[in-house]
Amino acid sequence: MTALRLPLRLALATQWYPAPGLALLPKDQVIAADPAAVLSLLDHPKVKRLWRVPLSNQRPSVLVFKPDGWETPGPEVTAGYSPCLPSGGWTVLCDAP
Amino acid sequence: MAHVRAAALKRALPFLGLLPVALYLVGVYPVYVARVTIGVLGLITLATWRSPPEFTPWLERAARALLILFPFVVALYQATRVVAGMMGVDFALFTQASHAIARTGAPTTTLLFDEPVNFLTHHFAPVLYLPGLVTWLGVPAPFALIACYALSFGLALWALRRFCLGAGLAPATATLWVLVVALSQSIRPEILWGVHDEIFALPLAGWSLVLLQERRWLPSLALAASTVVAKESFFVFPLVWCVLAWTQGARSPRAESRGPLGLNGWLIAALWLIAGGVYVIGHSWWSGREFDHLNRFDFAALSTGTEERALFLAALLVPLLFFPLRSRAALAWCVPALPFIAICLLSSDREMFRAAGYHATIPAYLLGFAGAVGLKSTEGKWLSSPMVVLTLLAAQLSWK
Repeated sequence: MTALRLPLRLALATQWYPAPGLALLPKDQVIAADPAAVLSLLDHPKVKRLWRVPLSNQRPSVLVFKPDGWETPGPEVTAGYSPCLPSGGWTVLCDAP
Repeated sequence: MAHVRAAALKRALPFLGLLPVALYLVGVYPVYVARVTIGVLGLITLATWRSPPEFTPWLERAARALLILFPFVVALYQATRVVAGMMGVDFALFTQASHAIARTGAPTTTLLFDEPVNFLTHHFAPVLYLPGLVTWLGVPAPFALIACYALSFGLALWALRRFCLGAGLAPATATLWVLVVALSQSIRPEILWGVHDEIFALPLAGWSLVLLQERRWLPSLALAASTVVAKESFFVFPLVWCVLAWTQGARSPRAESRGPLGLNGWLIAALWLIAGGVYVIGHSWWSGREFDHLNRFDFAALSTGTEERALFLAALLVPLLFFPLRSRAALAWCVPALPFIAICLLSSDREMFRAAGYHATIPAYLLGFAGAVGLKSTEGKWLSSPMVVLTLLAAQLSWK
């Protein structure tokens, strides 16, 4: 009948802010990220919101998102990208050359 | 002996009404418990018709403890969601702006358009410099934002409780009424599930109304004028403040020559309306881009969605049991909420008149002040009995 929401959220909190692996991302490329990733990429000058990727004129060089997070991109967004960089639990996809 | 037990039971029964709130605040899904509580409280009310249960000072203390706990729960819950990666894009946007303030002094965001923009050209919310300052002091931006958010919410609740006491409600009824308002469907989801600039305006508006109730006109006017640091829609607030102050006795500009309505109030109201007009309507003139939310206003849209707009109004008033409309004095205190209700109703965007959305937070909170006056004006009648307010509190949590 009841859902222990708070303990559940705490149980889900397996990755502490900020994710250390994201520090390796290049600063000179556009990063499209979901909100969770944005919070870990606050110092990155090129971070953008993930859902805007198809609307943007500029194809992002790197996609960063949390697996099963707030805005997990569909295959239409991730097509042409491949996994790259160690990321400490995050999904990091780079645009194929 | 049985008589003593019955008396003790009558004192203990009202505590049942706080059970759904306590469960909600510790993270337990409260809906079914709240529904059962409504039924039990209803039966108790009928069974004790001639001699209602006593509201002991301990009930008020317990309710006040829950009220004090609420902002801390908000902070803990939101921080947990940040850590779990479950926050939405609006939170990311406000966080990015706060972080940019700490780093560069300007609330820059890259999440709105293809190019980085100053957030103040999208929403007028200089209040973000507060979490920006906390971030500058070393607190990570998400948690600085959450701390300021919870603080604003706590101050808003405190203002409403002080207003309730000033309106003459008994301490227990006042505290329960604040919980009723805070847990209404137009405030509860917004508080826990996101961060928006609306909440930062609530304590300023709330304390402005408290000071107005206490007839401390100038500080009240100053706070009313300051609400605009949180949101551009508050450019209209000094005007509604003047109308409300006029209804509360500051009637004559000459008689109140030293008061705000001598000149100051109407002058500030006019200046703020001009500034708001320049910001919103003249947006494309000074920023090169139309105000993002201007295209949501459409008088022609009023001919559609009539039922939904009516339901929006009902959803604001039903959780308050129509107390804001129950006396002439209460109706006067509805004035501050009217422009915000109008903004919602005049929109072509259905999200604007969704009662459980964050756009309804400001009118729901402001109607809580009018509701307190309405509750007081019906004091002594069955409808405003403490047991009914307690049942109303359980009702707030009886749906998702």
